[in-house]
Amino acid sequence: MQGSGTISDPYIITNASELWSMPLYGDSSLYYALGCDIDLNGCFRNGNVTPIPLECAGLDGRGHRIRNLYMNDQTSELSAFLIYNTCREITIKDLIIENFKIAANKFSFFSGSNCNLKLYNCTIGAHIRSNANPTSRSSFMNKNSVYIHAELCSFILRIYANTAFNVFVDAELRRCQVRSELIYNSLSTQSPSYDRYFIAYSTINDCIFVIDLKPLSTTASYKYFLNTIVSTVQNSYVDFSSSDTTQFIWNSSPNTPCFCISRTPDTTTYTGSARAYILTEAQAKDVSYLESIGFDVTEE
Amino acid sequence: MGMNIIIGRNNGLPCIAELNDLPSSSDMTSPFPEHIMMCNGGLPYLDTPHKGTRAAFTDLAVKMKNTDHLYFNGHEITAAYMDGEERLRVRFTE
Repeated sequence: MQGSGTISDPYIITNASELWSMPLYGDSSLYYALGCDIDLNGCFRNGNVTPIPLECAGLDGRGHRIRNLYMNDQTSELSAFLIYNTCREITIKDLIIENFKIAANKFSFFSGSNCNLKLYNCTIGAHIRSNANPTSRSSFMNKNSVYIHAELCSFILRIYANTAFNVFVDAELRRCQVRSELIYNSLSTQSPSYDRYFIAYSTINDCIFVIDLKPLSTTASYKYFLNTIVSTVQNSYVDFSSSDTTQFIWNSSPNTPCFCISRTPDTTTYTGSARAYILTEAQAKDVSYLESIGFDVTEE
Repeated sequence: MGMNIIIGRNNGLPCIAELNDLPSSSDMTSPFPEHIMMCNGGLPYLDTPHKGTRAAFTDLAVKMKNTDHLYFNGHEITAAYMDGEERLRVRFTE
């Protein structure tokens, strides 16, 4: 690869082989950047279940895309990226991940241990099928002890799973937006354990969550719990819809005013809490109304 | 920092000014990126929900669902990849 691996002269990745070669160069102090879009469609790795290894201090996408990763092994636990144990902090910036399709027995997008993963100005688009839930204190995005710190990122996720599970855990999201299409075989009618919330043990500031829930089996009084057990949530909102009669529950109080949007006609019932408002779509578009409830928004 | 309501953005709802709006549900990640939807030697067609309807790949990228099957000259396409000249190559069931 061109470059010397420093922050000012990173190694330049230009194809799939180089993308998988970080451990050959390896140590956790090196910097990499993409020199072009990398399309994994038809490459030797496509269909291989070996995750993309991350052993570096930083990966700069430079606005390029990694697209069309396809993994299918529904008997194994898989991840899209594997962070090596030597890494305690990795920064990924200006990267677009597009059209990753992964089917696994258990799945977390980023796996590893004891690493702070900083994502800045990234977009992640993925279709995920996970037959069983990931390890405890994990989520579909991160396996336990990989801590996601994301700023100005977009997550576009279609998740097919047996039942509800954390989408984010131990994460810090700042000025991020998430669209999740959640296709679940079943949902609980009871209060969940901590690993059934959309978000758990996380800090959320100025974020947008669009959640489209599609339970496949029907039971009266489904409950879906947005948040946020043991989390800090500030100035964020949820646009929730369901294909079935579901109770959407804001389970714990956000720390500053937040809201979800109740649309009509809609068979969903909404449960708010202190500082968690249930607004009509018109109210959610009205700057004056949002300001009146203490939501920090400006009109341009 | 807060959010912004900007005319023409995010259907009038608060948005994050620095980010592009999220795709709508129907525009979720396409089966393949649109710009590689080139076909060499004929048009594929979509089995469902428009059985028998012939369409260009660019249309299919928007219309396909996960459960749809893509056919080419009567054969189901099982894999697709780009060659070095930005042409789409496909594999079929025989």
